[in-house]
Amino acid sequence: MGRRSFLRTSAVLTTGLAALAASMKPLLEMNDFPTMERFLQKYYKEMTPQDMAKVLKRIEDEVEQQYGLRPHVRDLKPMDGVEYVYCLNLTRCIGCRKCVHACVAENNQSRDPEIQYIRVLRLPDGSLDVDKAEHFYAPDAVPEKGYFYMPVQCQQCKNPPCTKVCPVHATWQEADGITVVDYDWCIGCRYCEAACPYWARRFNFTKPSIPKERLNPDMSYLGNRPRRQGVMEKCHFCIQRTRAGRYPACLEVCPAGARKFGNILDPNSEVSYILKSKRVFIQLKEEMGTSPRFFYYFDV
Amino acid sequence: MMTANAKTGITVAVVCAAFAALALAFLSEAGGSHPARPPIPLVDTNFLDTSTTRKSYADLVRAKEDLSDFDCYICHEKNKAPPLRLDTNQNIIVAPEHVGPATFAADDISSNNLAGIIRRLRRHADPVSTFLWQSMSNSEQVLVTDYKPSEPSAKQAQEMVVAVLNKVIGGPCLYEPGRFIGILLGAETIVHLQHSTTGPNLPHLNRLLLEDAYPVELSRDRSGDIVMGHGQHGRNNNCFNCHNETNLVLLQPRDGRELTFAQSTKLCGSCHGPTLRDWEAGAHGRISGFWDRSLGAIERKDCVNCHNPHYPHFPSRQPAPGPHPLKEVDVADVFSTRQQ
Repeated sequence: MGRRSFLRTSAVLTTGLAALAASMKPLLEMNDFPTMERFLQKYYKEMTPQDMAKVLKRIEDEVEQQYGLRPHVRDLKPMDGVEYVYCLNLTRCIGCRKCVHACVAENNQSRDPEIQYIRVLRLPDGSLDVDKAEHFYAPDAVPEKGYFYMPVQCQQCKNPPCTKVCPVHATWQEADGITVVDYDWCIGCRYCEAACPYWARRFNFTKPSIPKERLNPDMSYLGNRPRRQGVMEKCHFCIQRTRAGRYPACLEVCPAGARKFGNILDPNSEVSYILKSKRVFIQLKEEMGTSPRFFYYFDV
Repeated sequence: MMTANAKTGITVAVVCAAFAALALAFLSEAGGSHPARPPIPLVDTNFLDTSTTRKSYADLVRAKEDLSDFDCYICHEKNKAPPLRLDTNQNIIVAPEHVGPATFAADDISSNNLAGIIRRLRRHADPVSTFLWQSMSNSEQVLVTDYKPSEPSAKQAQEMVVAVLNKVIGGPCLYEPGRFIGILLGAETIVHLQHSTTGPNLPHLNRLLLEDAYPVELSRDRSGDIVMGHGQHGRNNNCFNCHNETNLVLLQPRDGRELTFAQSTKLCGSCHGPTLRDWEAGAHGRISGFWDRSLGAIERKDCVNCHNPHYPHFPSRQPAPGPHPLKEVDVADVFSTRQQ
C-alpha cells in the first residue's frame, strides 16, 4: 500500500469512527443495561410459575434498589367466566380530570414528563365529532355551559389493531378482555401506537421519573410495575385491582359517578343493567371495526 | 492539470474534514442543546381524594359526631308547626337561624388568614379587594398599610377589618359580574343570587360573596346554611313537602310513611323513582370496593353524600391540570385557532 492510499484509508476510517462515536452518544447516558437474567428472560406465555417467581423477585429487588421501598409484585391470572366492560355516562362527566390523576397515582406512571393514560376531551353540545374536541381546556370551573366531556383511554377492543402489528408479540389480548403489554419484551418500535385509532398507547421517551413518596407498592407484572425508557404502556383496566375483584382507580375517584365497570358475562352486574336499559350506547370510532369494550351512554 | 488520484484524494480529504467537523459539533452540542422544559409540579392531592363532598346522617352516626344540629326540639316547640313565610317573589323566607351567619365576628378570622386578607387589601389588585379598599377611610387604610402581626396595633387592625367587612355586608348587593370574574361562586351563593339581590337575606348573600372572593382566608363549613333551591321555577317551594311539620325529626314522603334522617334515600326515591331504581342497580351514583361481590364488600354512597338536599344541583369545581405538552401551550392562542 502506498502512502497516499494509506492516508486516504485512514482518513476515511477516522471519520467513520468519529461519526460512529457521535451516534453512540446516548449510550453514555444509559444506566440500566440489562442484566444477564433479564436478557435471557423467557416470553411471558412460556414462563413456568417458578420462572415467574424468579422474575417477580428480580423486579422487587430492582424497585427496592431504585426507590428504597420494597413492593409486592404479583402475577394475577384472568378469572374464569369474566369479560370486563367499561361504561361511561356522558351526562354525568363534569370534566374534572380526577380520573386522569388517580390513574397516574395508581399505576406508577412517569411524572416528568407526565404520562396520562386517560385524555378527557371537551366537546361542544350537539356533536360527537372529535375534531371539534379540546384537550387542553383549563377553565376556572367545570362543567362549562354548552360543552360535555368525554374521557378516552384504551378501549380494550375485541378486535384490536395494536396487537396485530406488534413485530415481537409483546402485546396481546388476555382471556378476560384486557390487552396487556409485557414491558420486558417490548422493543419500543411504536407500531402499536401508530395502529391505535384512539391514541391509547403511550411511549416512554425518557427514563420515567416517579417521586419515591408517591410510588404505589402494590404492583403486578403486566400492570403497574415501573417501566423503563423505550417501552410502551397503556391503560390495562388497573389489572392489579380488577383481577383481585376491585374497581379500577379511575372509577373510585370519580365525583360524579360517571364511570361503571364490571363483568358483562354476569347478568346481575351494573354494566349488564346499563347495556340493557340505557337508551344510547355509542362506541368511539365504531366504523374502524375495532369493537371496543368501552361504551359511552347518555342517561336521560 | 491534476491527476485522477489527486482529485480523489482532495475530495476524500474535504468530505472527511466536513464529516469530522459535524461529528465534533454534534458531540460538543455546539448548536445549543434543547431548552429545558419547565418542571411539572406534582398534582395536588385534593384531586386524588376519593371521599365525597358531604357526609350523610348515617356517616355522622357511624363516626360518632355531634348530632345536635339534627335535634330540632332544642329550639322548636313540640307540637307546634313552624310557620312558612314567602316573599313577594314567592320564594321561601328561610328563618334566619337556618340561613347562616350574616356578619363576621373577630374570632372568625385567624391571625394567619387576617395576614392574607391584609396582604390582598394592601395590593388591592383584584376587583373585590379594590372595592373594599375604596370603602375604607384614610385612617383605616393607614392601619392596613402599617400592619405588623407582632405589634400591639395588630388586634386593632383585626377589629377594624371585621368592621369594614360587616359594613360592606350591610350595604347593597356586592355582586357585579365584572367584580367577580374568575371567582368560583358557591352553590348557595348562586341560588341566593337567582332568588333575589334585595330582601332580608341580602346580608347573608353579601357574606357568602365575600367568602367566595376570599376562599382561603374566609372559608367555613357551609353545610348548615339552608337555601331553598330544590326544583326548578320554585316548584318545590314548601319545606313540608319533605319535612314532617308535626314531628320535625322525621321526613315525610307523599305516601304518608315516616322516615328518619338516616333513611333519606327512600325519601328522595319517593319522587325520583327512576333514579332510585338506577341507584339500586348501581347505575347512578358511585359504588366503591369490589365489582366481584364474592371477594369483598362494597360501599354505596347515599343521595346526600353528593347532593345537598336543599339545593341538589351538582356544584362546579376547579378541574385538575390537563396534559403537559412538550412546548408551553398558550391556552388563549390554542382557543383562537380552533373554530367552535
